[in-house]
Amino acid sequence: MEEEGAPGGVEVATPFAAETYAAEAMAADMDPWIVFDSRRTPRSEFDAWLKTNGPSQVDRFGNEEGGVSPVGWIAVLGLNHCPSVGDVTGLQESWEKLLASGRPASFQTVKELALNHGVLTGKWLMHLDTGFKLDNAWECVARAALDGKISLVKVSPHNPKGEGKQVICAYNENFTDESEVLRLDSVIRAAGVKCSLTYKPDVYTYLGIYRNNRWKLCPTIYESKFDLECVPRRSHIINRVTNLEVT
Amino acid sequence: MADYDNYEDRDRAYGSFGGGRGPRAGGRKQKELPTEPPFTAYVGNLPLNAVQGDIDIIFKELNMRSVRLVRDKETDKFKGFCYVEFEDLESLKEALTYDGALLDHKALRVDIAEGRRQERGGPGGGRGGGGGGGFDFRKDDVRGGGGGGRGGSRGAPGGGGRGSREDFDNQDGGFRGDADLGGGSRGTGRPGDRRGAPGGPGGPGGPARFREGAPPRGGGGGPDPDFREPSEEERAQRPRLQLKPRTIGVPLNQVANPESAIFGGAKPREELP
Repeated sequence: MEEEGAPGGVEVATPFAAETYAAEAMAADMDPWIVFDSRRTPRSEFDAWLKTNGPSQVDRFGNEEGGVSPVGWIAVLGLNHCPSVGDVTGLQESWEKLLASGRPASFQTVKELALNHGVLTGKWLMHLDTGFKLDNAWECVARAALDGKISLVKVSPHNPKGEGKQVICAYNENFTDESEVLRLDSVIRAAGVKCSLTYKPDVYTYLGIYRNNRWKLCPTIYESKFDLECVPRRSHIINRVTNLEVT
Repeated sequence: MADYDNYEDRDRAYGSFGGGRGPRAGGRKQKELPTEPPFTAYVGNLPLNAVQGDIDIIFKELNMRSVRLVRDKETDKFKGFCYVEFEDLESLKEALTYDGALLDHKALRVDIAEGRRQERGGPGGGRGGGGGGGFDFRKDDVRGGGGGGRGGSRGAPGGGGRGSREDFDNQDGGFRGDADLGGGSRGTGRPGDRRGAPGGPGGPGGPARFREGAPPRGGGGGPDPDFREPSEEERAQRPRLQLKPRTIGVPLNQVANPESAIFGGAKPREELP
Protein backbone atom coordinates (compact mmCIF):
# COMPACT_ATOMS: atom_id res chain seq x y z
CA MET A 1 0.00 0.00 0.00
CA GLU A 2 1.47 3.24 -1.06
CA GLU A 3 -1.17 5.84 -0.61
CA GLU A 4 -1.89 8.32 2.05
CA GLY A 5 -5.59 7.84 1.48
CA ALA A 6 -7.30 6.50 4.55
CA PRO A 7 -6.41 2.86 4.11
CA GLY A 8 -8.55 -0.11 4.13
CA GLY A 9 -11.82 0.58 2.40
CA VAL A 10 -13.50 -2.30 0.68
CA GLU A 11 -11.68 -2.94 -2.56
CA VAL A 12 -14.35 -2.43 -5.18
CA ALA A 13 -13.72 -4.04 -8.52
CA THR A 14 -13.51 -0.88 -10.58
CA PRO A 15 -11.34 -0.88 -13.66
CA PHE A 16 -8.82 1.32 -11.84
CA ALA A 17 -8.53 0.89 -8.11
CA ALA A 18 -6.87 4.31 -8.00
CA GLU A 19 -10.26 5.91 -8.42
CA THR A 20 -11.58 4.12 -5.35
CA TYR A 21 -8.55 5.19 -3.32
CA ALA A 22 -8.94 8.76 -4.51
CA ALA A 23 -12.60 8.80 -3.50
CA GLU A 24 -11.78 7.41 -0.05
CA ALA A 25 -9.03 9.95 0.46
CA MET A 26 -11.30 12.78 -0.57
CA ALA A 27 -13.97 11.58 1.86
CA ALA A 28 -11.40 11.52 4.68
CA ASP A 29 -10.21 15.01 3.78
CA MET A 30 -13.74 16.34 3.94
CA ASP A 31 -14.66 14.75 7.27
CA PRO A 32 -13.78 16.70 10.43
CA TRP A 33 -10.13 16.62 11.50
CA ILE A 34 -8.73 16.57 15.01
CA VAL A 35 -5.99 19.20 14.97
CA PHE A 36 -3.36 20.38 17.42
CA ASP A 37 -2.12 23.74 16.22
CA SER A 38 1.24 24.42 17.90
CA ARG A 39 1.09 28.05 16.81
CA ARG A 40 -2.05 28.65 18.89
CA THR A 41 -2.33 25.98 21.57
CA PRO A 42 -0.07 26.03 24.63
CA ARG A 43 2.59 23.36 24.55
CA SER A 44 1.54 22.18 27.99
CA GLU A 45 -1.68 20.82 26.54
CA PHE A 46 0.09 18.60 24.05
CA ASP A 47 0.60 15.48 26.16
CA ALA A 48 -3.04 15.31 27.18
CA TRP A 49 -4.12 15.93 23.60
CA LEU A 50 -1.86 13.16 22.34
CA LYS A 51 -3.22 10.74 24.91
CA THR A 52 -6.87 11.51 24.21
CA ASN A 53 -6.44 11.24 20.46
CA GLY A 54 -4.26 8.16 20.01
CA PRO A 55 -4.70 7.09 16.37
CA SER A 56 -5.34 3.45 17.32
CA GLN A 57 -8.28 4.55 19.46
CA VAL A 58 -9.92 7.26 17.39
CA ASP A 59 -12.58 5.73 15.16
CA ARG A 60 -12.72 6.79 11.53
CA PHE A 61 -16.50 6.59 11.50
CA GLY A 62 -17.25 7.83 14.99
CA ASN A 63 -20.35 6.60 16.71
CA GLU A 64 -23.68 7.94 15.59
CA GLU A 65 -25.60 6.88 18.67
CA GLY A 66 -23.00 8.23 21.04
CA GLY A 67 -22.90 11.49 19.11
CA VAL A 68 -19.24 11.04 18.09
CA SER A 69 -18.64 12.40 14.63
CA PRO A 70 -16.46 10.72 12.02
CA VAL A 71 -12.80 11.74 11.92
CA GLY A 72 -10.94 12.26 8.66
CA TRP A 73 -7.47 12.81 10.02
CA ILE A 74 -5.61 13.61 13.23
CA ALA A 75 -2.98 16.31 12.65
CA VAL A 76 -0.33 18.44 14.33
CA LEU A 77 0.51 21.77 12.73
CA GLY A 78 4.11 22.69 13.42
CA LEU A 79 5.28 26.08 14.68
CA ASN A 80 6.50 26.96 11.20
CA HIS A 81 3.42 25.69 9.42
CA CYS A 82 2.13 27.99 6.72
CA PRO A 83 -0.48 26.65 4.37
CA SER A 84 0.81 26.94 0.82
CA VAL A 85 -1.42 24.91 -1.39
CA GLY A 86 -0.74 26.69 -4.68
CA ASP A 87 -3.23 26.95 -7.48
CA VAL A 88 -4.93 23.57 -7.36
CA THR A 89 -7.79 24.52 -9.64
CA GLY A 90 -5.37 25.76 -12.28
CA LEU A 91 -3.35 22.58 -11.88
CA GLN A 92 -6.36 20.38 -12.45
CA GLU A 93 -7.41 22.37 -15.53
CA SER A 94 -3.95 22.07 -17.02
CA TRP A 95 -4.00 18.36 -16.31
CA GLU A 96 -7.29 17.94 -18.17
CA LYS A 97 -5.85 19.87 -21.10
CA LEU A 98 -2.75 17.70 -21.08
CA LEU A 99 -4.80 14.53 -21.17
CA ALA A 100 -7.04 15.92 -23.91
CA SER A 101 -4.02 16.81 -26.00
CA GLY A 102 -2.94 13.20 -26.01
CA ARG A 103 0.52 13.98 -24.69
CA PRO A 104 1.80 11.22 -22.46
CA ALA A 105 1.49 11.66 -18.71
CA SER A 106 4.85 11.05 -17.07
CA PHE A 107 6.61 12.13 -13.91
CA GLN A 108 8.27 14.95 -15.85
CA THR A 109 5.03 16.37 -17.22
CA VAL A 110 3.33 16.15 -13.83
CA LYS A 111 6.31 17.85 -12.22
CA GLU A 112 6.13 20.60 -14.83
CA LEU A 113 2.48 21.23 -14.03
CA ALA A 114 3.25 21.26 -10.31
CA LEU A 115 6.00 23.86 -10.78
CA ASN A 116 3.79 26.00 -13.00
CA HIS A 117 0.99 26.09 -10.45
CA GLY A 118 3.06 26.15 -7.27
CA VAL A 119 1.69 22.85 -5.96
CA LEU A 120 4.98 21.67 -4.51
CA THR A 121 4.31 20.13 -1.12
CA GLY A 122 4.97 16.45 -0.55
CA LYS A 123 5.17 13.94 2.26
CA TRP A 124 6.93 10.90 3.58
CA LEU A 125 4.43 8.13 4.29
CA MET A 126 4.70 5.39 6.87
CA HIS A 127 2.24 2.52 7.04
CA LEU A 128 2.08 0.86 10.42
CA ASP A 129 0.03 -1.75 12.26
CA THR A 130 -2.69 -0.36 14.48
CA GLY A 131 -1.60 -0.53 18.10
CA PHE A 132 1.62 0.33 19.84
CA LYS A 133 3.78 0.52 16.70
CA LEU A 134 1.54 3.12 15.11
CA ASP A 135 0.89 5.14 18.26
CA ASN A 136 4.58 5.23 19.11
CA ALA A 137 5.72 6.38 15.67
CA TRP A 138 2.93 8.95 15.69
CA GLU A 139 4.10 10.31 19.02
CA CYS A 140 7.66 10.58 17.64
CA VAL A 141 6.73 12.62 14.57
CA ALA A 142 4.01 14.59 16.35
CA ARG A 143 6.61 15.79 18.87
CA ALA A 144 8.98 16.69 16.06
CA ALA A 145 6.21 18.86 14.60
CA LEU A 146 5.55 20.42 17.99
CA ASP A 147 9.25 21.29 18.18
CA GLY A 148 9.07 22.97 14.79
CA LYS A 149 11.12 20.32 12.98
CA ILE A 150 8.27 19.28 10.67
CA SER A 151 5.69 21.71 9.30
CA LEU A 152 2.74 19.32 9.33
CA VAL A 153 2.10 15.71 10.30
CA LYS A 154 -1.14 13.79 10.09
CA VAL A 155 -2.31 10.25 10.75
CA SER A 156 -5.38 8.34 9.63
CA PRO A 157 -7.73 7.25 12.42
CA HIS A 158 -8.55 3.62 13.09
CA ASN A 159 -10.82 2.01 10.53
CA PRO A 160 -12.51 -1.04 12.09
CA LYS A 161 -13.40 -2.33 8.61
CA GLY A 162 -9.87 -1.74 7.40
CA GLU A 163 -6.92 -4.03 6.97
CA GLY A 164 -5.20 -3.27 10.26
CA LYS A 165 -2.76 -0.63 9.02
CA GLN A 166 -2.89 3.11 9.32
CA VAL A 167 -0.80 5.76 7.63
CA ILE A 168 1.24 8.68 8.95
CA CYS A 169 2.20 11.57 6.64
CA ALA A 170 5.04 14.01 7.37
CA TYR A 171 5.10 17.03 5.04
CA ASN A 172 7.69 19.30 3.51
CA GLU A 173 7.40 22.33 1.25
CA ASN A 174 8.98 21.33 -2.02
CA PHE A 175 9.15 17.87 -3.52
CA THR A 176 11.42 19.05 -6.34
CA ASP A 177 14.12 19.98 -3.82
CA GLU A 178 15.85 16.69 -3.14
CA SER A 179 17.96 17.97 -0.25
CA GLU A 180 14.78 19.10 1.51
CA VAL A 181 13.24 15.67 1.06
CA LEU A 182 16.36 13.99 2.44
CA ARG A 183 16.48 16.38 5.37
CA LEU A 184 12.93 15.50 6.33
CA ASP A 185 13.87 11.81 6.20
CA SER A 186 16.67 12.40 8.67
CA VAL A 187 14.35 14.35 10.98
CA ILE A 188 11.94 11.41 10.96
CA ARG A 189 14.79 8.96 11.64
CA ALA A 190 16.17 11.15 14.40
CA ALA A 191 12.71 11.09 15.98
CA GLY A 192 13.10 7.31 16.30
CA VAL A 193 11.13 5.92 13.36
CA LYS A 194 12.89 2.97 11.67
CA CYS A 195 10.24 1.49 9.40
CA SER A 196 10.37 1.91 5.63
CA LEU A 197 9.03 5.15 4.19
CA THR A 198 7.80 6.25 0.78
CA TYR A 199 7.62 9.79 -0.49
CA LYS A 200 4.71 11.15 -2.46
CA PRO A 201 4.26 14.64 -3.92
CA ASP A 202 0.86 16.20 -3.20
CA VAL A 203 0.42 16.93 -6.89
CA TYR A 204 -0.38 13.25 -7.43
CA THR A 205 -3.00 13.42 -4.73
CA TYR A 206 -4.65 16.50 -6.25
CA LEU A 207 -4.71 14.88 -9.66
CA GLY A 208 -6.19 11.68 -8.26
CA ILE A 209 -3.14 9.67 -9.26
CA TYR A 210 -3.06 6.79 -6.80
CA ARG A 211 -1.52 3.38 -7.17
CA ASN A 212 -2.85 1.18 -9.97
CA ASN A 213 -3.73 4.22 -12.06
CA ARG A 214 -4.42 4.19 -15.76
CA TRP A 215 -1.19 6.01 -16.63
CA LYS A 216 0.93 3.44 -14.80
CA LEU A 217 2.59 6.24 -12.88
CA CYS A 218 4.15 5.33 -9.57
CA PRO A 219 2.87 8.04 -7.22
CA THR A 220 5.71 7.56 -4.74
CA ILE A 221 8.97 8.97 -6.02
CA TYR A 222 11.37 7.99 -3.21
CA GLU A 223 11.67 5.12 -0.80
CA SER A 224 13.70 5.11 2.37
CA LYS A 225 14.88 2.07 4.29
CA PHE A 226 16.67 2.36 7.57
CA ASP A 227 19.80 0.21 7.55
CA LEU A 228 20.77 -1.22 10.92
CA GLU A 229 24.15 -2.38 9.71
CA CYS A 230 25.54 0.98 8.64
CA VAL A 231 27.70 2.75 11.21
CA PRO A 232 26.21 5.09 12.15
CA ARG A 233 22.81 3.75 11.21
CA ARG A 234 21.16 5.65 8.39
CA SER A 235 18.60 5.55 5.60
CA HIS A 236 19.12 4.13 2.15
CA ILE A 237 17.02 6.30 -0.11
CA ILE A 238 16.20 5.28 -3.65
CA ASN A 239 14.76 7.62 -6.25
CA ARG A 240 12.02 5.52 -7.81
CA VAL A 241 11.85 7.65 -10.94
CA THR A 242 15.50 7.23 -11.86
CA ASN A 243 15.97 4.03 -9.87
CA LEU A 244 19.19 5.46 -8.45
CA GLU A 245 20.35 5.29 -4.88
CA VAL A 246 20.41 8.80 -3.44
CA THR A 247 22.04 8.09 -0.09
CA MET B 1 15.74 -17.16 32.78
CA ALA B 2 14.28 -19.54 30.35
CA ASP B 3 10.73 -18.34 30.35
CA TYR B 4 10.82 -17.64 26.70
CA ASP B 5 11.45 -21.27 26.11
CA ASN B 6 7.75 -21.65 26.34
CA TYR B 7 7.13 -19.67 23.26
CA GLU B 8 7.01 -22.52 20.93
CA ASP B 9 7.85 -22.25 17.31
CA ARG B 10 4.79 -20.43 16.02
CA ASP B 11 4.03 -22.84 13.23
CA ARG B 12 3.49 -25.71 15.56
CA ALA B 13 2.35 -24.16 18.73
CA TYR B 14 -1.06 -23.07 17.62
CA GLY B 15 -1.87 -26.00 15.46
CA SER B 16 -3.37 -28.06 18.22
CA PHE B 17 -5.60 -25.26 19.41
CA GLY B 18 -7.27 -24.49 16.16
CA GLY B 19 -5.07 -21.47 15.82
CA GLY B 20 -7.78 -19.09 16.92
CA ARG B 21 -5.42 -16.50 18.31
CA GLY B 22 -2.30 -17.41 16.47
CA PRO B 23 -0.50 -14.73 14.56
CA ARG B 24 -1.33 -16.37 11.28
CA ALA B 25 -5.03 -16.77 11.79
CA GLY B 26 -5.81 -13.68 13.79
CA GLY B 27 -2.85 -11.70 12.60
CA ARG B 28 -4.66 -8.43 12.43
CA LYS B 29 -5.58 -8.41 16.04
CA GLN B 30 -3.85 -5.73 18.07
CA LYS B 31 -1.36 -7.23 20.42
CA GLU B 32 -1.22 -5.92 23.94
CA LEU B 33 2.02 -4.92 25.57
CA PRO B 34 2.78 -6.97 28.66
CA THR B 35 2.51 -5.14 31.96
CA GLU B 36 4.84 -7.47 33.82
CA PRO B 37 7.80 -9.67 32.87
CA PRO B 38 8.67 -11.43 30.72
CA PHE B 39 9.06 -8.63 28.18
CA THR B 40 9.70 -10.72 25.15
CA ALA B 41 9.82 -9.82 21.48
CA TYR B 42 9.53 -12.07 18.47
CA VAL B 43 12.23 -11.09 15.99
CA GLY B 44 11.86 -12.56 12.52
CA ASN B 45 13.01 -12.39 8.91
CA LEU B 46 16.59 -12.73 10.09
CA PRO B 47 19.33 -13.88 7.75
CA LEU B 48 19.73 -17.64 8.07
CA ASN B 49 23.37 -17.29 9.01
CA ALA B 50 22.59 -14.96 11.90
CA VAL B 51 24.14 -15.76 15.25
CA GLN B 52 23.46 -14.44 18.71
CA GLY B 53 26.07 -11.74 18.27
CA ASP B 54 24.04 -10.25 15.41
CA ILE B 55 21.00 -9.95 17.64
CA ASP B 56 23.15 -8.34 20.32
CA ILE B 57 24.31 -5.77 17.80
CA ILE B 58 20.80 -4.93 16.59
CA PHE B 59 19.54 -4.21 20.08
CA LYS B 60 22.83 -3.02 21.53
CA GLU B 61 21.24 0.10 23.02
CA LEU B 62 18.56 -1.84 24.88
CA ASN B 63 18.53 -3.82 28.09
CA MET B 64 18.52 -7.35 26.78
CA ARG B 65 18.18 -10.26 29.13
CA SER B 66 18.40 -13.24 26.83
CA VAL B 67 18.09 -14.41 23.26
CA ARG B 68 16.80 -17.71 21.99
CA LEU B 69 17.41 -18.50 18.35
CA VAL B 70 14.83 -20.99 17.16
CA ARG B 71 16.23 -24.02 15.38
CA ASP B 72 14.64 -26.87 13.55
CA LYS B 73 14.20 -29.79 15.88
CA GLU B 74 15.33 -32.31 13.31
CA THR B 75 18.10 -30.60 11.44
CA ASP B 76 19.13 -28.02 14.06
CA LYS B 77 19.14 -25.39 11.32
CA PHE B 78 18.33 -21.84 12.36
CA LYS B 79 14.80 -21.00 11.29
CA GLY B 80 15.31 -17.28 10.82
CA PHE B 81 13.60 -16.04 13.94
CA CYS B 82 14.28 -15.71 17.60
CA TYR B 83 12.83 -14.55 20.87
CA VAL B 84 14.50 -11.76 22.77
CA GLU B 85 13.64 -11.10 26.36
CA PHE B 86 14.26 -7.60 27.69
CA GLU B 87 14.80 -6.42 31.22
CA ASP B 88 12.09 -3.80 31.07
CA LEU B 89 9.05 -2.67 29.15
CA GLU B 90 10.81 0.40 27.78
CA SER B 91 13.33 -1.79 26.02
CA LEU B 92 10.60 -3.97 24.54
CA LYS B 93 8.80 -0.86 23.31
CA GLU B 94 11.96 0.47 21.72
CA ALA B 95 12.62 -2.92 20.14
CA LEU B 96 9.23 -2.75 18.44
CA THR B 97 10.31 0.39 16.60
CA TYR B 98 12.86 -1.81 14.78
CA ASP B 99 10.03 -3.50 12.91
CA GLY B 100 10.59 -2.90 9.21
CA ALA B 101 14.20 -1.73 9.52
CA LEU B 102 16.72 -3.22 7.15
CA LEU B 103 19.05 -6.04 8.11
CA ASP B 104 21.06 -7.75 5.42
CA HIS B 105 18.72 -6.34 2.73
CA LYS B 106 15.67 -7.77 4.42
CA ALA B 107 13.01 -6.00 6.48
CA LEU B 108 13.32 -7.10 10.08
CA ARG B 109 10.10 -8.18 11.76
CA VAL B 110 9.66 -7.37 15.41
CA ASP B 111 6.50 -8.13 17.33
CA ILE B 112 5.30 -8.66 20.83
CA ALA B 113 5.86 -12.36 21.50
CA GLU B 114 2.68 -14.06 22.42
CA GLY B 115 1.71 -17.47 23.53
CA ARG B 116 2.37 -17.99 27.15
CA ARG B 117 -0.33 -15.91 28.70
CA GLN B 118 -3.24 -17.34 26.81
CA GLU B 119 -1.89 -20.86 27.06
CA ARG B 120 -2.25 -21.02 30.77
CA GLY B 121 -5.15 -23.13 31.76
CA GLY B 122 -5.87 -23.88 28.15
CA PRO B 123 -7.11 -27.24 27.02
CA GLY B 124 -4.95 -30.16 27.96
CA GLY B 125 -2.89 -28.11 30.32
CA GLY B 126 -1.84 -25.63 27.71
CA ARG B 127 1.24 -26.18 25.70
CA GLY B 128 2.11 -29.39 27.40
CA GLY B 129 -0.46 -31.21 25.35
CA GLY B 130 0.32 -29.52 22.09
CA GLY B 131 4.05 -29.29 22.06
CA GLY B 132 5.07 -32.23 24.10
CA GLY B 133 3.14 -34.60 21.96
CA GLY B 134 -0.26 -35.97 22.81
CA PHE B 135 0.75 -39.49 23.55
CA ASP B 136 3.46 -38.63 25.96
CA PHE B 137 1.31 -37.56 28.81
CA ARG B 138 -0.76 -40.68 28.79
CA LYS B 139 2.32 -42.55 29.84
CA ASP B 140 3.18 -39.92 32.33
CA ASP B 141 4.63 -40.44 35.69
CA VAL B 142 2.18 -40.27 38.53
CA ARG B 143 3.33 -36.81 39.41
CA GLY B 144 3.49 -35.75 35.87
CA GLY B 145 0.09 -34.18 35.63
CA GLY B 146 1.30 -31.03 37.23
CA GLY B 147 3.54 -30.33 34.34
CA GLY B 148 0.80 -28.32 32.83
CA GLY B 149 1.71 -25.80 30.25
CA ARG B 150 5.42 -25.86 30.62
CA GLY B 151 6.20 -29.00 28.76
CA GLY B 152 6.11 -28.16 25.12
CA SER B 153 8.96 -26.10 24.00
CA ARG B 154 12.04 -27.84 22.75
CA GLY B 155 10.87 -30.79 24.74
CA ALA B 156 10.73 -33.22 21.93
CA PRO B 157 14.40 -33.82 21.19
CA GLY B 158 15.56 -33.64 24.74
CA GLY B 159 12.84 -35.39 26.61
CA GLY B 160 9.74 -36.40 24.71
CA GLY B 161 10.69 -38.13 21.55
CA ARG B 162 14.01 -39.43 22.59
CA GLY B 163 12.98 -40.46 26.07
CA SER B 164 10.14 -42.63 24.98
CA ARG B 165 12.34 -44.56 22.64
CA GLU B 166 15.31 -44.90 24.88
CA ASP B 167 13.82 -45.42 28.24
CA PHE B 168 17.12 -45.47 30.02
CA ASP B 169 18.52 -42.42 28.50
CA ASN B 170 18.35 -40.84 31.86
CA GLN B 171 21.61 -39.12 31.58
CA ASP B 172 20.52 -37.15 28.62
CA GLY B 173 17.38 -35.90 30.25
CA GLY B 174 19.22 -34.96 33.35
CA PHE B 175 21.94 -32.97 31.75
CA ARG B 176 19.77 -31.19 29.29
CA GLY B 177 17.56 -29.99 32.05
CA ASP B 178 20.29 -27.95 33.61
CA ALA B 179 20.03 -24.24 33.98
CA ASP B 180 16.67 -24.28 32.37
CA LEU B 181 13.79 -23.86 34.73
CA GLY B 182 11.27 -23.96 31.98
CA GLY B 183 12.39 -27.23 30.48
CA GLY B 184 9.53 -29.18 31.90
CA SER B 185 9.36 -32.09 29.62
CA ARG B 186 13.06 -32.56 29.64
CA GLY B 187 12.75 -33.31 33.28
CA THR B 188 15.47 -33.88 35.73
CA GLY B 189 15.46 -37.53 35.13
CA ARG B 190 15.29 -38.76 38.70
CA PRO B 191 11.74 -39.28 39.86
CA GLY B 192 12.76 -38.94 43.46
CA ASP B 193 14.31 -35.56 43.03
CA ARG B 194 11.75 -33.18 44.38
CA ARG B 195 13.92 -30.19 43.86
CA GLY B 196 13.56 -30.65 40.16
CA ALA B 197 12.27 -27.97 37.89
CA PRO B 198 8.56 -27.32 38.31
CA GLY B 199 6.70 -29.91 36.42
CA GLY B 200 9.98 -31.49 35.60
CA PRO B 201 9.75 -35.10 36.57
CA GLY B 202 6.57 -35.38 34.58
CA GLY B 203 8.60 -35.69 31.46
CA PRO B 204 9.16 -39.07 30.01
CA GLY B 205 12.79 -38.83 30.87
CA GLY B 206 12.16 -40.84 34.01
CA PRO B 207 12.48 -44.59 34.25
CA ALA B 208 9.83 -46.74 32.70
CA ARG B 209 8.41 -48.18 35.85
CA PHE B 210 7.09 -44.83 36.90
CA ARG B 211 5.72 -44.11 33.57
CA GLU B 212 3.46 -47.01 32.80
CA GLY B 213 1.93 -47.85 36.12
CA ALA B 214 -0.12 -44.96 37.38
CA PRO B 215 -3.32 -43.71 35.83
CA PRO B 216 -3.02 -40.40 34.02
CA ARG B 217 -4.02 -37.27 35.76
CA GLY B 218 -6.08 -35.94 32.95
CA GLY B 219 -3.59 -33.72 31.23
CA GLY B 220 -2.70 -31.15 33.79
CA GLY B 221 -5.74 -31.25 36.03
CA GLY B 222 -5.22 -31.30 39.78
CA PRO B 223 -1.60 -30.34 39.97
CA ASP B 224 0.52 -31.68 42.76
CA PRO B 225 1.37 -28.68 44.95
CA ASP B 226 5.05 -29.39 44.56
CA PHE B 227 4.93 -29.17 40.85
CA ARG B 228 2.34 -26.57 40.11
CA GLU B 229 3.16 -23.58 38.01
CA PRO B 230 4.69 -20.81 40.13
CA SER B 231 2.77 -17.55 40.12
CA GLU B 232 4.34 -14.37 38.82
CA GLU B 233 4.97 -13.15 42.38
CA GLU B 234 6.68 -16.34 43.38
CA ARG B 235 8.73 -16.16 40.27
CA ALA B 236 9.75 -12.62 41.10
CA GLN B 237 10.79 -13.66 44.59
CA ARG B 238 13.16 -16.29 43.37
CA PRO B 239 16.74 -15.25 43.88
CA ARG B 240 18.42 -14.30 40.64
CA LEU B 241 21.61 -16.05 39.76
CA GLN B 242 24.48 -13.85 40.81
CA LEU B 243 27.96 -14.66 39.70
CA LYS B 244 30.73 -13.53 41.99
CA PRO B 245 33.91 -12.19 40.47
CA ARG B 246 36.49 -14.76 39.56
CA THR B 247 38.59 -15.81 42.52
CA ILE B 248 41.30 -17.70 40.69
CA GLY B 249 43.93 -15.39 39.33
CA VAL B 250 45.70 -17.53 36.80
CA PRO B 251 43.86 -18.84 33.77
CA LEU B 252 42.68 -22.37 34.38
CA ASN B 253 43.51 -23.59 30.94
CA GLN B 254 47.05 -22.41 30.94
CA VAL B 255 48.30 -25.70 29.63
CA ALA B 256 45.86 -25.80 26.77
CA ASN B 257 47.30 -24.65 23.52
CA PRO B 258 44.87 -22.26 21.86
CA GLU B 259 46.40 -23.07 18.50
CA SER B 260 45.70 -26.78 18.78
CA ALA B 261 43.27 -28.19 16.29
CA ILE B 262 40.87 -30.11 18.47
CA PHE B 263 39.06 -31.62 15.53
CA GLY B 264 42.25 -32.57 13.77
CA GLY B 265 41.98 -32.06 10.04
CA ALA B 266 38.23 -32.66 9.96
CA LYS B 267 36.09 -30.15 8.09
CA PRO B 268 32.35 -29.57 8.42
CA ARG B 269 30.46 -31.11 5.57
CA GLU B 270 27.01 -30.48 4.22
CA GLU B 271 24.59 -33.35 4.79
CA LEU B 272 22.42 -33.60 1.73
CA PRO B 273 19.15 -35.44 2.07
